Amino acid sequence: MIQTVIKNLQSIIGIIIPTGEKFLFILTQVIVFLSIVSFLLVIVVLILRLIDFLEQQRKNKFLAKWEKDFYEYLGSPDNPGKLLNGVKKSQYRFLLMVMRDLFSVLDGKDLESLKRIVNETSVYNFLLADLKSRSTKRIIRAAYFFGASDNKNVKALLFGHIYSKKSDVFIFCARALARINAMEYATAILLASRYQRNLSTDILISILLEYKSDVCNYLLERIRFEDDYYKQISIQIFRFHGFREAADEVLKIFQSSSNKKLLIECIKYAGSIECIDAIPYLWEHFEHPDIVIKTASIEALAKIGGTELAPVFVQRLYEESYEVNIAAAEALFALGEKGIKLLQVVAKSNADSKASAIAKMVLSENFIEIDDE
Amino acid sequence: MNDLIKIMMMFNYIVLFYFLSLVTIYFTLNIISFFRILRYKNKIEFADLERIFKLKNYKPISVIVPAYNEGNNIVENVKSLLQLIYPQFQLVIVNDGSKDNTLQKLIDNFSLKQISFPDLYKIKSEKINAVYKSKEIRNLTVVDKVNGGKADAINAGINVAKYPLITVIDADSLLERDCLLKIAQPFIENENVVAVGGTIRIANGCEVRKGHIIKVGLSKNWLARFQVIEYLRAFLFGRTGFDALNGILIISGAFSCFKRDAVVEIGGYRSGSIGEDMEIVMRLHKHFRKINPDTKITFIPDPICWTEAPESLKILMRQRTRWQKGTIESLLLHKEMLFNLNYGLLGFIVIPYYLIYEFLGPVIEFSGYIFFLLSLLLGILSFEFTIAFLAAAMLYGILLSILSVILEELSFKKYPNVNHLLILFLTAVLENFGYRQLTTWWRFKGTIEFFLGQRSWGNMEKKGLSSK
Repeated sequence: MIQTVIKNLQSIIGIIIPTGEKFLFILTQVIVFLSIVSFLLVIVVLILRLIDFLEQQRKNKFLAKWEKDFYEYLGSPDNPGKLLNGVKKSQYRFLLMVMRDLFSVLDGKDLESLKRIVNETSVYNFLLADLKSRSTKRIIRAAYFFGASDNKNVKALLFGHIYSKKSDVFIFCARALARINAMEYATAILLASRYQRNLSTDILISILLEYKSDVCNYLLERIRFEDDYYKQISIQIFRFHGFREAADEVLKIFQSSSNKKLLIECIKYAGSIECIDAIPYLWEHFEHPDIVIKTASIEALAKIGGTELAPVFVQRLYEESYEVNIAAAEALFALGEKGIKLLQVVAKSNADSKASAIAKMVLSENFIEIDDE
Repeated sequence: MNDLIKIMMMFNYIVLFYFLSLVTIYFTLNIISFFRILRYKNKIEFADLERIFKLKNYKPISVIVPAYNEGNNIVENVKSLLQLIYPQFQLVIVNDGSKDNTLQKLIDNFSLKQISFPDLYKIKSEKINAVYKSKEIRNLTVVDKVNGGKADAINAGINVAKYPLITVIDADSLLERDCLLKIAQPFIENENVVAVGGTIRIANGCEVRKGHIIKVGLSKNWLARFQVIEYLRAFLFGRTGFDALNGILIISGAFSCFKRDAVVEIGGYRSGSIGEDMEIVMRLHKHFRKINPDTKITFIPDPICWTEAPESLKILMRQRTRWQKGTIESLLLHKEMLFNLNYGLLGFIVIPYYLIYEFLGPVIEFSGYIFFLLSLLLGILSFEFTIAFLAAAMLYGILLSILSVILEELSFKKYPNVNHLLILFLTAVLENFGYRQLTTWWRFKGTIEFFLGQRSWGNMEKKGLSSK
């Protein structure tokens, strides 16, 4: 019975896999074939290297001439089109590489001249074709240059890509829109970001930070109608721009919200703009059971200042949480002379206590002696 | 007798399939990673990282450098590290009980002053003798501690580190100046990333000036050249391929970056571990993927860190036996991850791969060579099998190594001269005649030693890279 089963199995397998020496023969032939292919590939790679070498030489020769004209053009009111006379389309990628490096180093009039090459010459049509293409690589390249050169004509095309499933396309096109300061698309960027799987808040913030500071007014107008995520992002943008006009709105959110992330952003914002009106609310969160919220409140109060807060910070040095202790010690230090004196007192008071150790650490990190007086 | 011949033949077939499957897996990984690298390159080319990181919402980094008897190079290395491009970073040098003048050199050259540091550490480590800070260079911190090994030194560094990201590097690593911008980027792009590994390249033969690679070259030493091929095939393309499966199991201790809170949450590095870099990655997967299945440990293929490869057989043997022991130790410590649904493809593909090809591989391969030779001597093998075996064991391996060089040429093109390329192709061929078998023997030896209880780290003297 078993033998029959084995025989049947062998015959079934035999159809798919050749057995014995036939299999070995085929296997050897396949490997030898692959080896021949790889040998041919080696030759191809060497030829490619040769082509690359020749192209590099062509590039160097072309750029040596072009760069001379280019540096003469920089900062001048000349027509940038002249620079492109006689430049073949195949040489555009050399140009774009040079321009990419220059965009990150030039400023002022020179940068404006560079932007004009993208916006007023045939490079524009070349990049426009890239932006209309389906290739991620080409779209990214075009988005980068249009963003860097502040080209407002392509806003709609860039917007067309922000709902792309490819996160790289979204990031580059949204960043370009932000660099162009296309305010009308800020909400669209925030909404489209939700369709991107695993896109972080940090990258979204970094995109929105590309906008000029007037994006804060735009976000402020909409903040009350939007959800917690929108609010959280907007408050971060307010904080990074030091936008004080949002204080009232943020304080309202601070009072009413129970969302931890949102609360932390409100606290950080209040601290960063040194919002005196926020002090009562920060006091409330001073006793918050969540260590992160409590620590953020201490840090915010430290930034707002006021030496009357010093005794409260000293109390926090004796709490259980290490994070809270350090935040309190640093807050005392930030208060200046009075805070430092108190830290020195705590440092000397009970050498074995945790509070003393932390006070000593903050003082010595800042090269201040404990026995200074 | 007949049964013995049958068993021998069966084993020969197993080894033949082992070789075929191993090289085929690597082939697939190499191809997958090639496309990933092209995508990464397209993105990074226009990413303008330096500008993005000026936009205020970057994550500050603490760079931890464990140092043991590094007196000869430590000052130059610290100076070079201080030149890294990043908006805010802290450099934490951990003198792990060096017997030479490492600490004194640091104190003298950077005007260090001892500061008070409370004994409230979050992670266990050997006793910290003192913490020093420099008044002139405010982002430099030096920790002097009792010797406890690399993992322990890193733990001490984590306790002193104050920023949300920590990067761990070897004291003798040569870093590209924008390496921190590149390694921090995945953390900004994806909140689920807890660790990022960087590509390590061989610095032997390169021109080094003031701690930076200024011209890429190839060593004249064949051992170093063989390692260049190995690093390309296994570390660059292999790991990038595994990254596609979210299956990175090792990120090199020479250059890695973590979320500080994540490392603290799992209790830091495992002190006394032989393969601490693999162990911590497995523990991170184990801990965080249970909490959040989207947790990611990723790898960036950019050649951002260069390291000196051993050029002597003795040192290379120590390194390879240690790596093997580290792999076995980590796999055994986390054996419950094998075929565990919680870890997705990691549990079903990557860990079984490591078990079969990395843990058991040297045993299968080494005994395979013995059985093959024995069968040849006994005249058991047919001509067809002998040819097929040699083709699978040698020719297929050569093919894979050549493919790695081709992919390097088509992606990063780091070796500037045609001569380099020709030497690399030749090395890819020669590596399969002796070197590969030798490393198999060392890994086999490492496996035996591990089970015999010989689990020390061993001494890893380095010649030092000549700097201009």
